[in-house]
Amino acid sequence: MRPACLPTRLRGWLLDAYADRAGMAVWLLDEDNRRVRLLDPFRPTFYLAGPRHALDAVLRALPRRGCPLTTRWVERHELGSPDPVPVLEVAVHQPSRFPTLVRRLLQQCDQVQFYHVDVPLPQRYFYERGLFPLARCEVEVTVDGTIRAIHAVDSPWDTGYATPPLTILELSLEGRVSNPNHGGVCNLIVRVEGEERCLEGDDGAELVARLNQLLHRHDPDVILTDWGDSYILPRLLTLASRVRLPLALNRDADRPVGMQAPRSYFSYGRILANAGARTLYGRLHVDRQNSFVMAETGFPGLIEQARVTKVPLQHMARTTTGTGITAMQLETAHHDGILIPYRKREPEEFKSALELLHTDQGGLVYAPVLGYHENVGELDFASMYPSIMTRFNISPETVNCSCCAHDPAARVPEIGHHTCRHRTGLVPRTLIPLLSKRAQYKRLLAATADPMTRQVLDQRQTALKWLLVVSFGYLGYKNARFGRIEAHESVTAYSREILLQAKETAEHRGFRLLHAIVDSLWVHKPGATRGDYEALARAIAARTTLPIMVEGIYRWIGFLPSRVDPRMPVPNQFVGMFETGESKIRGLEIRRADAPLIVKKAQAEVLRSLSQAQTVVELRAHVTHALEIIRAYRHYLQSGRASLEDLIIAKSISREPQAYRHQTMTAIAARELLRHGVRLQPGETIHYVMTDAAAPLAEDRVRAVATLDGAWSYDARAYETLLLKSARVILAPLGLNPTDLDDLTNPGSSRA
Amino acid sequence: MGRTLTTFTQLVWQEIESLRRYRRALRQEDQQALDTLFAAARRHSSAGAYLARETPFEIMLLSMLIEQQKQLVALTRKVADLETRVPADPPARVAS
Ligand SMILES: [Zn+2]
Repeated sequence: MRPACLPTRLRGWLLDAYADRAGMAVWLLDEDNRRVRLLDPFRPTFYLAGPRHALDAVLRALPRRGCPLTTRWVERHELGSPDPVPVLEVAVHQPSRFPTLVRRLLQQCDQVQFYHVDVPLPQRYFYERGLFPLARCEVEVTVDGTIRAIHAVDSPWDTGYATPPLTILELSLEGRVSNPNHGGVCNLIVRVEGEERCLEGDDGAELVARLNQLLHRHDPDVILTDWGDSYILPRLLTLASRVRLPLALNRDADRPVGMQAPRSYFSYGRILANAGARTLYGRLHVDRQNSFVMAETGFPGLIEQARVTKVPLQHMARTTTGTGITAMQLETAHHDGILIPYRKREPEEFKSALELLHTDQGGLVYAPVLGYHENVGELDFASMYPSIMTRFNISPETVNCSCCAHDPAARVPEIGHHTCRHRTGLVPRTLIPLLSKRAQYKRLLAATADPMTRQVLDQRQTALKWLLVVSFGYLGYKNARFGRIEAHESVTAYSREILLQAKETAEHRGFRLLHAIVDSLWVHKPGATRGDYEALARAIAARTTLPIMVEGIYRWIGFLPSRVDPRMPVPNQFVGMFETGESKIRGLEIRRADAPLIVKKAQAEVLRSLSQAQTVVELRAHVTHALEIIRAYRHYLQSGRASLEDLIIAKSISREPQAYRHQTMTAIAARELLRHGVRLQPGETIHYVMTDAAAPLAEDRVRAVATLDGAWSYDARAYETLLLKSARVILAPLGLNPTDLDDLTNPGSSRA
Repeated sequence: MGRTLTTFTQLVWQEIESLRRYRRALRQEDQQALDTLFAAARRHSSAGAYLARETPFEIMLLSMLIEQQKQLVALTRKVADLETRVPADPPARVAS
């Protein structure tokens, strides 16, 4: 839509921006509720450094015809070096040609260093103009829709921002729980502006026509789907081309739908699958089933992350949190005139503080004192690693600087490094506003009663929490673009020192340390009141100079044993009841995605029963009731009445189905899907039920849910075993041994 | 050539000093146990000095074990003594 005559000044929200031939295409949702496409004649630049003859060769290789370029010599800085270097700046007049041009040069010129080549152009544009996704802006335009000036009137650091009145059209599949790519046929459900329709797929031409009708009538800003990236959009597009009807998914009619192939990647030590992407122009497509941030923090969290990172919304929805924090670091560098070196590939997502515990020896851990304890306080350092990085100025260019080597106050504990006392580093400068914005949200949350507002505030602060959680891995580690191993080591050294100081402060005040992991401590002192725990937190904060808060006081908390060796404690595996009546549970089936629903239901019921106990003595008295619950669930399983939903086990596959060497249940189910022609990629989640877990023939042991037909039955005994395991871990510390647990909950036994 | 008593005690102190970071990272209750062990090592300093071995830490460990062995014997005796003094406890319940 290009209105022939536009006012010279527009106000509205920035909906989308992407590279076009003569500049950046910018979609604005204006104050009169119109969606207008504007053009900003923006010329992205990149930089080259290297020997003179190599640069001359690049200049000769630059294709001038059809793609005008401007070159000039400028001075820029490398991160951490005080002297500027001369570099050749190349401005590309047609942004849409930028990626191809850069790709060709990268292949041809290997003696040259490239800078600023792989920052996505919408981000470059946002940095340059001070804009961000969904910014409220003021635009001066000419009659043909060319932007003469544009600026944001709000800031990404505002906490009270309004989101634009977006029209959302939802596409989903009727009654789907598991991945539709694994089998089954279903109808398309369309929800828009309070109406829901079911489009049946019998007549392809009619389906496309009806969908087009809805798209034209409602002109949605966002298409929100379940399985849109891997299933709905690809199939709709295939259908549309088969019946020779254009499908009006894009608002920008000149563009095809953007496509990205599926891929698998590592995150937090696990392999994850990204189902690829179908992205739109002038309109936003977000697939709820292919978005970490949507799953964790919903649409408000996604908007929050896009605003602060300046990563376009559709990209932010599908990328890792690490890409978001990296983008923020790149922006800081760009504003400082620092050259952004080219990276062939983004590093894998790094580990959270907790994950380091198992792999890196970075953080300090005190294994819990097994069993149930009364009156326990949990104290948590708020965003410990980011706080350390800002408090002690840890950044790749500030560690072991040349100016502070002899300053004792600059010394990092335990190890020989020091950090700069004169200049604030790139990493702290990126993190400071993020930490303070999250703290603001938490203050607002504490002062807000309205549940709807609270939910949005909580989703926004969680979105920022995720950026902070990954910041350590991305900003401190050697693989990251500006990363450095010494920065990483300094952060973990400080974290160990700080946890030790916290432990010493607690013990000095007569508390016993029951458990500690990296940035959290569980401590106990007979007769201690909330006031005593608060005083302890203040004393620790005073000594460590880092913020620490009382997460809560547990009426009782049970640190639960290893499922392999019942004498071994396991870090971060517990069930606790706060004095407020709320519970906190870690490491149990109820919190695990792969446990069948029936096991989770039984465990939840047992925990609900135990939660009535005020003391450990009362807990023991509740064991009998817990056993009755388990007995009832076993009876239900044995009766054969358990439903498919109760029994589904969801597992993510760690490799290609053919690559499994052992006959694990996951491997058997994956191969069954493969036989049905389903293509699986590592990291994808598959669903199966246990049909006869001990069957001699592997194919009989489990069945993939997507291929189930009328005739199937489940292995009650196998599910009972899972049920007993989930009960044992909770009840064993209360003095119940495995044999008794089995006997006392056996529906056929007379002993109960 | 024998070592003097003072030098062996010094060796124990040096050992404790070298474990300073280890000790700091222990829970308070475990620090107390560690201190008790090294107290046992100091108790046998004269025997350690008389042996004058190249690796004194082995001797310290043995000294710790000697004290633990003595305590084990004492406790075993005490339990036996208590068992004879306490008259017929009701028979332990068979696990139900
Ligand atoms: Zn310095």
